Formats: sequence, structure tokens, C-alpha cells
Amino acid sequence: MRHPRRLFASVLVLAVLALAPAPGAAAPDGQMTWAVHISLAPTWFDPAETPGIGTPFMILYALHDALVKPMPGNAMAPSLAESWTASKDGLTYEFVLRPGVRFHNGELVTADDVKFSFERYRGAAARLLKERVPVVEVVDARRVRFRLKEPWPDFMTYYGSLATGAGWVVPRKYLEKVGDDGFKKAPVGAGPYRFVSFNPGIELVLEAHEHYWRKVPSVKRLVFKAVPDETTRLAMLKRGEADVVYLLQSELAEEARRTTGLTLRPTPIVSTHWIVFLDQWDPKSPWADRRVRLAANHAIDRQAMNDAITLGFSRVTWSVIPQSFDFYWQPPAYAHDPARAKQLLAEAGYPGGFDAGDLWCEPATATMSEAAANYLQAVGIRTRLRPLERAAFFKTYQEKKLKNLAYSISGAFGNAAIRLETFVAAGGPYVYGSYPDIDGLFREQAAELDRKRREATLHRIQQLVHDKAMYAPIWELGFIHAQGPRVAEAGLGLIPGWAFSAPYEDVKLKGK
Amino acid sequence: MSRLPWFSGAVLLALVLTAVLAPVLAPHSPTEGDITRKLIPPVWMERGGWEHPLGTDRFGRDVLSRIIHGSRISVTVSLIAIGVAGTLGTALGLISGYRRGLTDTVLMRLTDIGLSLPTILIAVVMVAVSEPSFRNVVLVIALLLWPRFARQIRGETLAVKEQDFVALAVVAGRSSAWIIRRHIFPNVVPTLLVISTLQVGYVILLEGTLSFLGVGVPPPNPAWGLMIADGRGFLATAWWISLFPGLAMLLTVLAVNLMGDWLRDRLDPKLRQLGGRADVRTVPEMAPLGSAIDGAPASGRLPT
Repeated sequence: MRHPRRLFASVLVLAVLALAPAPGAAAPDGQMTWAVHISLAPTWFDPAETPGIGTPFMILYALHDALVKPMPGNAMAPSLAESWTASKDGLTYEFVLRPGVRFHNGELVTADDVKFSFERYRGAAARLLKERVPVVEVVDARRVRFRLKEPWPDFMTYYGSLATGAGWVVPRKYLEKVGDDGFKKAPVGAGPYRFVSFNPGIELVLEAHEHYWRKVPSVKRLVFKAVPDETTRLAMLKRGEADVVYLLQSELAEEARRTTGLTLRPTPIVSTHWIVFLDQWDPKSPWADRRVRLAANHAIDRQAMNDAITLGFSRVTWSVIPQSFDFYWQPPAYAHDPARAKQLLAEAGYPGGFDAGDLWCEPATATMSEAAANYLQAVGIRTRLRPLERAAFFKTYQEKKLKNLAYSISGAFGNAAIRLETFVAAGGPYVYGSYPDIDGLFREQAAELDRKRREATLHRIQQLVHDKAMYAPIWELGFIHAQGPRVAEAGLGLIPGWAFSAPYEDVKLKGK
Repeated sequence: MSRLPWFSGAVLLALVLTAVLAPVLAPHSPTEGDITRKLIPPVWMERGGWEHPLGTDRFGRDVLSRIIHGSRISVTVSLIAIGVAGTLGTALGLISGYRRGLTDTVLMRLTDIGLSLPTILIAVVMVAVSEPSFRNVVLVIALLLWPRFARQIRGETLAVKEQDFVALAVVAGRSSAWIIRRHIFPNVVPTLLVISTLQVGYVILLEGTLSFLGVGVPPPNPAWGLMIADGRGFLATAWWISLFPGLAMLLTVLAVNLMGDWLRDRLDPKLRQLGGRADVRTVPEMAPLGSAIDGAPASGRLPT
């Protein structure tokens, strides 16, 4: 060897280049801080526990990655999977994993991890997924095959959107070593940010995963501070203690709009809000009477609430299903008519109104719930507001322990069938009771392969939901966020319909 | 002898009348509002009007009506909580002071534990665990309040018990229950009245604190603490949401405390001995065991 020193130097340079971030990518730098409107819960660090609402994906988009997930410009973007194919008979789906992708602990993401993650998934629609997808085969380290019992047109909507967390991949070896509880204390994923620390009720700190496959994140450190008090969130934004704040309402949103340097970011999302009459299947309850449920619907002035609380950015759609969802049916509007509401109550035997008990909600929706409660009160339906922390609210809701009324929300992705499965049809995680005609039609549509006939059935179900006045739909939320002067890209609204910042590798500070 | 506190009396009379006549006095429903008419300022400000003399809150509810109805909550919570705590504390204090021995030791250690608890913290935890409701707020406050009654009443019982008329009743073969009912209890009533009055302000503040912290009377009930909490996000722009219920609470507590002081001056035998309004710090809280203050006979009725 004539020039051993030169050879050594060349090898060294090559090694450094191989380990360094992608060419042209600047190293992550700076810190971006979010003031989040809810208390963060460790259950949201584990994709296996997603409960059919959007909130956990606020964290999952940073810590973890999915085979396929909604991304800017593509509602089902190949992520950990570089491609997938469905067999002509609709019975097999095969995914090819992106080569060389690693979890934060350095382990490669393999087909075995995908199979393991699917099988340990226990969140929303888990039973349905396991029933319809009885076999998951590891073809080789980069190929995984899902065998369906029968053709199921919704498979990818369940697996590849934010309807469930079943397609989000966790490291099998690490999870088996630390267990479920250990995983929540120190989650490891394949997302653009790795876990640094979590102080319950205070903050979650994440740091850039520089070898993330899609791109090197621009911001080094993400801090999510739990700030349930709206005034404090706005104050933090004004003082520069937070760069992005979630959920501002009414005057505080107006104040943010007026403040120089702050930018209001109203974000249209697929989150519908509605009041559930939890006792409607109890024959002794006033809510068992359709006229009472209709009265509640006529009592609430949604547009006034929208103008006052969300500055008109919400859309009053009269449905629990977002308008953008496949198979959506537009229900007719309920006129705001307190006189009619009182008349309906009188016809139902409650001329002086009645004590409707508790109206359960979570702190982030307390203002909206109280506004609705005031409207109910005005026609004689007297309620008490009972806020619970979001994680506790949905856990209690899911365990069927709530009574009377609940202010329900869901920002989960999917289609009309998925939203109905979660909140309307028998057996759904948040379903306290159902109606045989709706359940029959729901089973019918689930087996229907003809799209037109399925659509007609799903429309019929939504019509029945409306006719029975099962709920009091409020609106499709116009989620008002705000950002401070340091932020170049907050990631809000990049993924259509998504409520929070994402993808996090795209967020940027000015001058970086 | 101190003069009747007219200011306190007037405020308290107004409070009670307001509470009783709230549905008649309030111009609007306290829980109904027109959200399109939110944050209207008080009448003397621009955009204000007589329809809502003290303005509206963020849901368009009339602040004056909510304060008027809120007085019902404050008065009711105070009466029931003090009634429950007073009954329990007085009964235990009488038994403890009269029986002495092991009963006294056990009851007073329980009382000591009760008095050493951080009241607000315990109240928050208890209400949060048992779920916030009007009933639970009352019960929790009563549970935290009874030791104050028990300790004071026991002290008074110890003093009264040493009086000759009690000794005579014992010699006459009267039962303990009879003696407590006929001789001890009537003699501790003035003290009970003073303690009760002094606790009203404390109960109103505690209920307000619990409501402010979100573990008190649940919304949309018009509790004053809840109203203050509701408006704290708008202090710069809609200060009236918090200020007026805050003033109502301040006035009420001030009036109740002044009235309590006056009652103490009037009814407390120790202070009466010293003549009028004395510096209470110079007076021992409890009579030495086995003797009345300064050897003077205890106030009270002689057995007939």
C-alpha cells in the first residue's frame, strides 16, 4: 500500500458521511414550545391504546411512525412502508418496508415489528380488525402480508388513516423487555422525535431523531407544556414562553388576533362535537322520549355559539360525522326555536322542564358545554357541568360509567362507517345503547361490496340517527390556535383535517 | 358595651332578604343568557344599559342576577354546614368536657387531628374524590368545621361543670344526659352563637375558594367563587365579571365578622367581666380546669 494515510483518511471521511444527516440537511437547532390545552397522558405514548379520538396522534406523529399515514398532500402516504399492494380479490394486502429505517434505539424496523404491533393493538376497533384480519404473515424482514377473512373495503381506512393506531409500529424487542408500563415511561419509536422526559401535568420534552428517514427535523427540541388554562396559554404566547398555543376562544382569540407579532391560526378539522343523550335507552328517563331529545336540539343556537366562541370558524353541520368523510349524508337543520322546544317538552309531560342531571365534558370543551347548558336551561332542561380531564373523560366514557348527558367530540379520521361504528352502532366503544334497525343496516353495509348500495345504506343509517334525534350535534370545530413571532412553520393545517401541528419534521423556526 | 353594628346588620339583613327573595329581585335568570349579548359592560360605561346594570358575563348572563342568586348558595351552604358542624361539634364537646377520662382523651385527640388538617387542601381532595356537588361541598365543609366547635364547647363545658348548680344536680341524682341538657347546654349557647357567627365568613370564603378552584358547586350554578373564576381570564377587558361577585363576598364576610365580634363582646362572659370590647388577646381562651374565670360565677341559669 503506497499511501496508507490517504486511504485511512478517505475511509474516515466516507464513514463520517455515512453516519451524518442527509446531504444538504442542516443539523436540528433551537427549541419550539407548545402550550397544549389539555393534560398529556402517557396512554397517548403507546399507539396500541388509541381510543378512537384524534388527540393521541398529537404525540404519535412525533414519537412514532406508521406504515401508511395522512401527510401533506396525501391522505394515505407511504411512510414506514415504501409501497403496498392489494390482491384483486381484496383478500390480501402486502406491505414492503422502507429499507434501513431504525427505531430511536438503533434497532431496524422489521416486518416482525409490524405484525407484533398489529397483534398487540387494543384500541378503537381492535376487535373488528382482529376479526376481519385473522392472519398477518411475515414474508421476510421487509415484507408483511395481511390476510383478510373476506373483502373489506375499509381496511386501509382503518389501518392507514388516523382512525386507529393499528398501523403505527413499535419495537417488539424493546417492548418485550420493558413491558407496557415501562414503554409508557420511556417510549421508543421510529418517529422524527425521540422521547427525552415527561413530567405529568407539566411538560413532555422530545429531541430530534437526526436519522429520521423522511428528513432531518429542523428544530432540535420540542416541548409540550400542559396549560389547561386558556388565559395562561395566551399570556405565555405573548411573553414568548410558548411558540404555539392550542385552542383560544372568544375574546382571547380576538385578543391574540389584535396583538402585534401573534398570528391566529384557525384550523378546520374533522372534529365534530355533539351532546349524547346517554340515558335515552332507559325507559324511565325523560331522554327516552324522542320529543325531549328534539326539544334539546331546538333549544341550542349553534350559530350564536359559533360566532361567540369560535369566531365563526366552526361549521354547523348537524351531524356527528364530518362533512369531508366518505358516505356523509347531510341532515336537515334544527331551527333554534325555544318556544317549539318548550312545547315539545310540555307534550312529553315536562311543562316545567326537568332536572337532567350531569353534563359531562372535558376542560377544553367546558366553555362550549356551558354555553349549550345555558340554552338547555332556557327551555327548562336543567343540567350541571361535570368536567373531567380528557384522558379520564374518554376512559370513563368508554367504560360506560357516565350518566345523563355528555359533550362528546371526535377528531379521528376515517369515513362515515367508521364514525358510526365507534359512536352509534351496537358494540362500539362509546355506544351506550343502540336501535335494532340501525344495527341491522350497519351489519348490512359492512358486508356490502358495491359502493353505491353501501353508500345508500350508510345514508339511511344517518337519516335514522337524525330522525330518532339520537344526538344534539353542535358543529364541526374550527380549532383556533395561535403562533408567536419566532415560528416560521407551525405545522398547522399541513395535513388536511388534522387538528394539531404535524408532521413535526416540517416545523421550523425563523432564521433556521 | 359596644354599640350595635348597624352596617353589619344592614348588610346581613340585605343578604338574607336577597337570598330569600332572589327569584323576585333578580331581573333575569341566573343561568340563562344570550351569548350574542356577552360581555356587556355595567350601566355607567359605554355600551352599558339598565337591562344589565352590572353587565353580562362571557355567556351573556346577567351579572347582577347571578350575584343575587349566588347569595342563596352562600347563605344556604353557611347555614347547613354550620348547622351540621355545630350540632356534631357541640354534642362531642359537651360529652367530652362532661365525661372527661378516656372519652375526653379520644374525642380531643380526634379534634386535634381535625384542627391540624390543612383545610383547603383536604377540602379540595375530598370534594374532588367525592365529585363536586352542592351536597358534597356542604358535607366536606361541615366535616372540616366540627372540631372548632368541639374544642370551644368542651372548654366551656369544663368551666360550667364546676359550678355549684351542676354539683347540686349530681347530688340530687340527676342523670348525666339530664344535666347536660338542662344545665350545661343552656350555658354554652352564647359561646355557640359567637362561634357560629364567626364561622359564617369562613364558610363563605371556603365555599368560594372551592368553587373558584373548580371543585365546589358545579356550573352553571351562580356561586360567587365560580363567578370570580369565570371572569379571571377577562380581568383586563371585562373586569365586572369577577369584581362584583368579589365585592359581594368581601362585604358579606366583613359584615359577618364584625357582627361576630360584636356578638362576642356582648355574649362572652369573660369579655363582659372586663367591660365592653376588650383586647381578646389578653383573655385566656379557656378557663383553667375546675374554676370559672377570675372566680366569678359562670353566666347561666341557676337550677330551679
